[in-house]
Amino acid sequence: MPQFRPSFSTDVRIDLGPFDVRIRSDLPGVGEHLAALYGDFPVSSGRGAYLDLAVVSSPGARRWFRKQANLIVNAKRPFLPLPAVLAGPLMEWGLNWTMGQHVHRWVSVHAAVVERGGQAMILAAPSGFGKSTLCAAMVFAGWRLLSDEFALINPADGLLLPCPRPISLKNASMAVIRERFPAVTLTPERVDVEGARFVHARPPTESVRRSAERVTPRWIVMPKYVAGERTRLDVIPKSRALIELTDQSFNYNYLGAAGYRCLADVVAKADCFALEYSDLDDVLARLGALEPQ
Amino acid sequence: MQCSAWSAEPSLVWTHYEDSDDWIVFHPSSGSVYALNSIAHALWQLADIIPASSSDLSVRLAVALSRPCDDAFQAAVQDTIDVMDQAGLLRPVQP
Repeated sequence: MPQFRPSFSTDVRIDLGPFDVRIRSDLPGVGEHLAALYGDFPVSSGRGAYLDLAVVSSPGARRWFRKQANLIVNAKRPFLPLPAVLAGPLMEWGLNWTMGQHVHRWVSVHAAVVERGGQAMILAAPSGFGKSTLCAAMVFAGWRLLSDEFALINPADGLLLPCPRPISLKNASMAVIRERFPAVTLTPERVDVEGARFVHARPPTESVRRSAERVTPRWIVMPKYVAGERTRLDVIPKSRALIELTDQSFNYNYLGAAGYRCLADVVAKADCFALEYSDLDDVLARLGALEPQ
Repeated sequence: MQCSAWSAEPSLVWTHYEDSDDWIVFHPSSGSVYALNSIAHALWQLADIIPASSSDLSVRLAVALSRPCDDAFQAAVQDTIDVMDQAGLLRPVQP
């Protein structure tokens, strides 16, 4: 029996920060997602760390009835199929998964990273703590986006590598960002496998254009959204910040002592804070008042 | 664990920042990171100088901290040794 081989309607190769990513798909949702969010990204220069992703439809009857999307990363299928309507987001989740699981050239931390004045703020927190909402608000208010998902740190020099990609917004944060920044391009609202409503926001053109500019980490902030609370920005001991960063790191331990020392050095040179917030105007003012060195 | 003496695991990577008394230690073999207070770190340092039994370490730590080495102190030291043993920060030395 002949094996099903999809005919790719999408086959692009682009530079995503330090990555050279090839994305293929036979599902129109991926092309639409790329067109809406990735228009500013340059065609691959061939110099980055190569990642190969495909999002393909399931074979057989599933090609026509309740169509599905399958992620293929470097010839393997790490996830179960999802409904085809999630093909574009599946590509994003596949990129996240691949960068988190397979990229060990750099120390990676689950964190958003933004920059102003040549110095970067690492926003490190578990999922659901309001990290992406805060990141989006900062970026669309003028900070440069380095990443919404990963702080990528070069162990050789301690600099952060930009990898600006679409920002994932869930549930109430969608309306917050939509109302505050109506010019921002958002994908159509979808529902993920856990029942959460979400969209992706297009990264600012300027952030994409400056994807090659590495940045010194200056601040480490552990944000937490607490409904109705006044903004609290408290200095925390560096030891606590280091523990939090190692907790949120995907791979420092793969890199052994060099990975640990990289994070310890980043903490040594940064000012470290715990942040509780609910009022975006207030928190943007407080974070904007932090002094660059 | 019952053993005659404890020695310090030599491969650890320690970090200390001036803004607190905490010590952070990375265990390369396990890839784990632990936070210790200054007393636990002092205990580890005593075992690093020379392997010693739990009771000897209690006495030496009490002297270093200018504290009485009473039953409560010895019990606290033993609890700390047990935790550091489980974390691989101390090694049992068999006769």
